Amino acid sequence: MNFKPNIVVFVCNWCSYVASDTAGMKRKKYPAGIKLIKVMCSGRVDPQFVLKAFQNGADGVVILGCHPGDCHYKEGNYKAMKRAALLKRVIRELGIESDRFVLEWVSASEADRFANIINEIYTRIEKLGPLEVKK
Amino acid sequence: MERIGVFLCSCSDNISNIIDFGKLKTFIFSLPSIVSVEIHKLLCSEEGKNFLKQKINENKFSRVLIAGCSPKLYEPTFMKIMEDSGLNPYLLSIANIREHCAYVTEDRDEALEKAKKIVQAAYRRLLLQEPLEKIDMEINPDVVILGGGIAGIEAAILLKQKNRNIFLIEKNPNIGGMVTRQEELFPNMECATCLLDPLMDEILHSTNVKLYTLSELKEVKGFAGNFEIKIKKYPRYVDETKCFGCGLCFDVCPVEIENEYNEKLNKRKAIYIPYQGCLPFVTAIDPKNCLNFKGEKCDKCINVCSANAIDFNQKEEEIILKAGAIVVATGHSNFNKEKFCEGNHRIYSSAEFERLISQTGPTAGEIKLSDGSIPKTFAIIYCVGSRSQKFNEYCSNVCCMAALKYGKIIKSKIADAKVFHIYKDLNLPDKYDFGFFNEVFEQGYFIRVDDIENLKLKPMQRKVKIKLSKPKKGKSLKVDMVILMTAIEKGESNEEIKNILDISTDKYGFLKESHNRINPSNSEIKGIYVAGTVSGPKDISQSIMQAGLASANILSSLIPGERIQLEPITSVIDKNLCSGCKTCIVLCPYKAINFDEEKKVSVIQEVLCQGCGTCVAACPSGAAYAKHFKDSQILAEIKEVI
Repeated sequence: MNFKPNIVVFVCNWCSYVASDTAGMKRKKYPAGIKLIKVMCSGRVDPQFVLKAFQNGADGVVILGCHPGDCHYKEGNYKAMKRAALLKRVIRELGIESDRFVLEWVSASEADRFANIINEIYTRIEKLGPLEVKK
Repeated sequence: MERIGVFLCSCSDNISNIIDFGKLKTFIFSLPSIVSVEIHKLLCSEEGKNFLKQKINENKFSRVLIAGCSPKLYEPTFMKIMEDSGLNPYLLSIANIREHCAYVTEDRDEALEKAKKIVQAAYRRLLLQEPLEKIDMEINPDVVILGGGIAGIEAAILLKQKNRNIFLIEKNPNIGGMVTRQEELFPNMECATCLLDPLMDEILHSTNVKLYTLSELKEVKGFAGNFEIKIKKYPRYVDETKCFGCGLCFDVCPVEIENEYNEKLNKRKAIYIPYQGCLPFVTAIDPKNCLNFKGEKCDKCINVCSANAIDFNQKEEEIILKAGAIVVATGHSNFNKEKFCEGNHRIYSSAEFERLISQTGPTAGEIKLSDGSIPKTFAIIYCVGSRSQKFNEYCSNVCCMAALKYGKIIKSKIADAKVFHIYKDLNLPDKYDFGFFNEVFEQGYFIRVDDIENLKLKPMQRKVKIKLSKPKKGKSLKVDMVILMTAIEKGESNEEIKNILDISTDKYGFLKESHNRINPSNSEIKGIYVAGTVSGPKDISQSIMQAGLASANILSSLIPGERIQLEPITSVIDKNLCSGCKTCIVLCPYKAINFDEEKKVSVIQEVLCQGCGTCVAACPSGAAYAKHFKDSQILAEIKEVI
């Protein structure tokens, strides 16, 4: 079976979105199953966005924020970090492997890091196989 | 009925080489409300922009979708075209099919499928987007400057001009800061007061600079262009308009205390001026020490004052100032020498030595020890507390030159003095620095050691013995006087200022610049600037340059009579849905949310909100929503991209 994961990546307007643009300019290749959605801040990512993404068929969900201390809005990424810790437990309760949800930091200048992270996550989720919520 | 116009930009085939535009166009036409799908080779070109404008006007589009490069590149340009064509610019959606698709996808079929999804997500989002209006308001061109040292003074001089008031806030009774404590300045050995006095005078006699001495910052509300600043002014107990600084009161005041201006090397009275010639040249009563504040009755100064200036009825005042910008220039503090070695009357910090060589200092400029003896041998130890694993890893920037200056001054005052310079490295980057070093090098003995922290200072009866560290380990020297070139450290009030202004400090406790290299005078908050050593060790010229840059930024952005437009991408709380839990109030990094006690709901002050959306993500009732990034808009995108 040729499984191609669908992964939703939330990128913040100030750091990771810029990194994703630069990754494009540098022609860093990554699979077409990776889809980016812009938010102003990683702190804007409502836990329900992550759950909805899984519900709509995403095999993995990623939030990429500014590095701790570098948030454009001072501390939004810390809020994201706290929520992510809780959310990981919630999705496990729902029968979703916690590896399918990742929070990482990527600064505006880290185009290579951006590409490496999402390629790595893609490979990991490829191994996990399609999301099947256990009843 | 919506009329949506779609523009596919091939980016001179950069995009269409990978993505089949013919198929993409057919797909887009299958979506409802699409009036036209135009393919253009370079929408960002002049011709392309005219094409966009012409098509919008011809077809009377209600919304526009552009698929091409990243919105980071031309979104503002295209929004402007929308606006010029009479469309609300927030009814534009950009699908990034270049950086996020064509450039990163190898397989042509996969790229087309991904492009369809990206365009469809942008399309669904666009249908849910709402017209937004910028918030327009008048700016206040006035400026509050915190700190009356060299940086604050420079900023005040540059900024004071017609139609602009400057409020200069100084915590001490007099202005001038650290520079007034110096006698001569490196490298030209010019008189510091002679350089500073005309500047201070200009400020004191300017009609649009209002000086608040003995005052400190208490609270700040608002945003760039419209700040409201609350300060507390402590009483001087001397009427500034009456006192002319005759000093008769000093003689009669019975209270003697250590003079902090002279680094506690001599005494002052409870009614005092820090030094002769300070500005404003007005005395102050120190309530911590004056007998009248200790339950004792004393009227000696009142009786002797011919100007009737003493006023014990003065009270603390809270003053509200309004300004469009704030410059923080509150300076630094000095490394405590006792962290380096035990105190001894032969061991001076650089700040203490600076006062010792000053005409206005405790010995009127004569270099002598507290026992009255004249030292003949000196050791100047560089990098005390700087460039150290144990204390501060940074270089304090000014100490090498100050140490060389001391070497020169000692030789000029005591011709037969022997001066040992014990250093680890020399930091002499300015164009005049090495010339100065060469001059002093001839007059002293330079000893290089690997490590300053491992020097051992041992006070003896009439000398201080210094045991050297590697590579001179085992060797030692005995001197009459030691001068420790102590580090520049974060100002005592940095933490408090940081909390009040909601800005950040760096890992050393200095106030953080928005960007240390390309934006060195802005703080992280728009409209708040940093100048001088409050943001890190600097010499006088660097402080002046930073103050100049802050002033230039203010002069070009706060133009009297102009109005500012604030971005409408903010968050709003629906008062009908808000349960009043206050979760959002705690989370807001900008203190933009208030609680309406009457209605028991949280209210976002739109002018303060920066639109991060943290409150929206946390609101348990779903009452908060982020304009242009509403849940419905993002959820639509999520659904479409998968």
